[in-house]
Amino acid sequence: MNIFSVKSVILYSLAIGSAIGFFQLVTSYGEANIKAPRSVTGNYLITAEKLPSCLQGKQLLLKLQQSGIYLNASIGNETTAKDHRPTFSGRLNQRQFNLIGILPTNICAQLSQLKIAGSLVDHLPPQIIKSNSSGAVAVVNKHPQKLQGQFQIASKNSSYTTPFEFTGIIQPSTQSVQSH
Amino acid sequence: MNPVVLTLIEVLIVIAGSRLVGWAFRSIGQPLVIGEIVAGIALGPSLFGWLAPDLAEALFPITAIPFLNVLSQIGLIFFMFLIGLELDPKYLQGNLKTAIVTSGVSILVPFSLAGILSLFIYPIVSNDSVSFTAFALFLGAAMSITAFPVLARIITEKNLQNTRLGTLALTCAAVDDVTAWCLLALAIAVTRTNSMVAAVPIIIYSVLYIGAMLTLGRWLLKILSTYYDRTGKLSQLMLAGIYMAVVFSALITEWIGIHLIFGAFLLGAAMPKNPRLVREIAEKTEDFVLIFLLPIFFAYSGLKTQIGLLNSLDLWLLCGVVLGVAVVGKYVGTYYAARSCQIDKQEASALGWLMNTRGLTELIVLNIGLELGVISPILFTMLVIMALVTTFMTSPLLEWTYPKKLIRLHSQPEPTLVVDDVHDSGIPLSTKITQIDYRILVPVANPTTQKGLLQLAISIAQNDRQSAIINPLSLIELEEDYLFQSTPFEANRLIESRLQKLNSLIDTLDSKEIFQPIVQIGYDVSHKTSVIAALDRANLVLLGWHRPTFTNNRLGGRVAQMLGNTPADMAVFIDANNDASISQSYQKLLVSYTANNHDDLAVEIALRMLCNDRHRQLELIQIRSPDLKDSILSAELESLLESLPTEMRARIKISTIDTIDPIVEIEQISRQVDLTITGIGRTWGRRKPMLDNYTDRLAIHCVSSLLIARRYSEFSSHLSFLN
Repeated sequence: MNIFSVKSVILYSLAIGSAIGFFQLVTSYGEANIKAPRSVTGNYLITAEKLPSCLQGKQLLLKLQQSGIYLNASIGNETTAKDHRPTFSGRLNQRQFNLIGILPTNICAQLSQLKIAGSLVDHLPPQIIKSNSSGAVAVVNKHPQKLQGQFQIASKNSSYTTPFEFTGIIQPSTQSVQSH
Repeated sequence: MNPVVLTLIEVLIVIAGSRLVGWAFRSIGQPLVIGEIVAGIALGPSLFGWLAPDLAEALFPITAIPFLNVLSQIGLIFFMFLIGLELDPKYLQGNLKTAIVTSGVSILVPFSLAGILSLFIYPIVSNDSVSFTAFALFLGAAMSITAFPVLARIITEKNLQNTRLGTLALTCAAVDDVTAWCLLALAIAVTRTNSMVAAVPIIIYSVLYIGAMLTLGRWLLKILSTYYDRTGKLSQLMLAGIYMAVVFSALITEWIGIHLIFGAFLLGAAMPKNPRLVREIAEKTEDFVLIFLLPIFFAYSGLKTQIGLLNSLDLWLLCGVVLGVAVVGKYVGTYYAARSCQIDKQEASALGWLMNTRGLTELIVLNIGLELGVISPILFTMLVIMALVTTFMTSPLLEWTYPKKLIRLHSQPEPTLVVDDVHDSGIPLSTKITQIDYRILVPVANPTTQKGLLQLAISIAQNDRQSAIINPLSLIELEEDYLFQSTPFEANRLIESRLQKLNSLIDTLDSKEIFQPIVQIGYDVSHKTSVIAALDRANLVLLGWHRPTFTNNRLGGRVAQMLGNTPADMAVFIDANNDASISQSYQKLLVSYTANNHDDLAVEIALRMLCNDRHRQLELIQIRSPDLKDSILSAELESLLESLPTEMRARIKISTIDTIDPIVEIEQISRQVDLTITGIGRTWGRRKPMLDNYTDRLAIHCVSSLLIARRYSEFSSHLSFLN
């Protein structure tokens, strides 16, 4: 059979056409019915009224990296956090999320672990949706992007402290990290 | 630290690491590129950052990554130009119909499976800033890619380039390569515009640019090619023009909205395939790109690969699913497409594993996906693992499904020399088997200096009572597996050139018909020689003396490796004749016998030579300890000597020297003979140095040419014609 014979061309066209048709079907279904989690990637400037002594007076930056429902983050001071690799990990479940990890020693030497748990709120005034012993966070990641909640810190020799409330404002330079 | 200084320190570490790990992977039979990719990953947070986070942070801070990115992008552009350059329409000669069907299905099946997989993993590893269509397209492109450059080198390394499997795989991979790049360009266009419809203008501009490059661009490049033919050299000005064209073409495709790499690839692909011009451009470009810039790309990718992100069982299971879909899609698609084109099961299976090679090409696709945000960091890590695993598995699975014994050894096809092997099922693979009774394999490193070795091979082999053949084996050892010379057509050119040299040498000898040369590519010469000796079922491997570079041992270095590994009787020849033009007939033979099985082999070789020429004389000297009074000849040897024809027996003189140090006597006697033959020594292989003291001193003091025999098989095959 010649590769450019009518029979061959029809065969190739049918194969390619059916693959394209199948792909069209899958993508139409996917676009209509499959929803991915909200994009939360960004750098959030954290402010809090009350913090442990070693963190007081410091402007903390939470750098959130997202892989779907899986979150990774780093926390540092405003100038260096963006340069640190993630030391926190957690998950995003619907609008609820949690993070757990270790604070860099240059931020707070006597503290070790930090827990964040909360939920996302879109175009709503910041509010605490989840409130439990480990704290809560509310995040708005569209305009204006804002993050609000609580985190708990454990020192090296003691259990988690009382939750600290904080607010996070996304930094403009990172708003379009994943939008092209 | 000054960013330039820091970047240079990073580059130093990257190149050293890349060479080191690349070499380690080569030594286990894997492509160099896999090692380099692993080195890049090891320098990132997955290993170095995990073991020494502070040091890793200091050496590879995130602030320095943009500098590495610029260097890696430049490297990538020129690497893509090299890939395009080696994409030769000649690759499309291998059964185009089968190739089109196979490569088409081998793309459509994984692409479709990736679409289905997207339905499940899009909500898990992506986010709403990425459209489902773009995600599915990218995942489809990543799953359906075949790394043509890596595959081409695996084919060269396995010496498959002239087999049906090799040519078919190359054609399929070439078609796959072009299709996959088009698919990737479409995926990028859709990702950047976030919709299929909005991507249409980009697609139209891209098609127009491709058309322009293949017509106007090609016309201009042909003028360049003609000018090159006229001048006969590639001047720096011409090369500057070509490099400028590469960058300009890359910029155009970036402006169109696809990616820099496509312009560079397109220019390479459009370049007229004038062999000399292509070779010169490739050779002038590849060293710096492959040694300096490409490892930086691997390191840059490695810094973004965080295996630590896969920190739970469900993520590893997901990684397994991604890997499974990629492998099943590619292998099953290729296998059944090939089977539908009447390719036999074994070849179809081998083709499936070859097409499953993703290697470096996959890494390029993934980095673009990550850069565009369409692939999340976790998915990126999973797909990098998939690329590594699929490439890593290719060589062993290919060997498993299509063992070396099925690859025809001989470069000059003759029905009598088809490897007479039998499939596990018991069905003969070749029906045209002619019995060759005696085979000598002669590794020839340099054809211009090995005339004496081949003359000796004739003296041992040529016999009117049984059929014999001598296989001069010349292995072309390629230093790197990613250079242009490793491409199948270039390797064929090198093979052809070496074969001509070998044939010129054979033409100067008598009995040309007894020679059947074998020329192959071999990265590990000693290993390859031992494999070929086993496949060729050589009765004797006759090796020339090789002066080791780093040791004083006379049989050290590569010869020692071959002596240790080759599964056949061997003999190492130390030629005393410095003038290659003088013919040696080896009329007077001397065997120094110290009673071990290697010495028995020495006697058998001598008797065979004695039988082959009625004028030859043999003196067999037993080196006996002064406290012994009886003959030290083994019972088998005694019996053999007694069974010899009287005429032959009359030409053998047996004498005895009662000494523990016979070197002085042997030195004296060797002055009167043409060839001294001895066993390698009873302590061989048990201690270092390889030779025992006696044999080593004999090698130094022997005046005649010396043949050192090493027994492998317990069953003698050298005198079977006497039975």
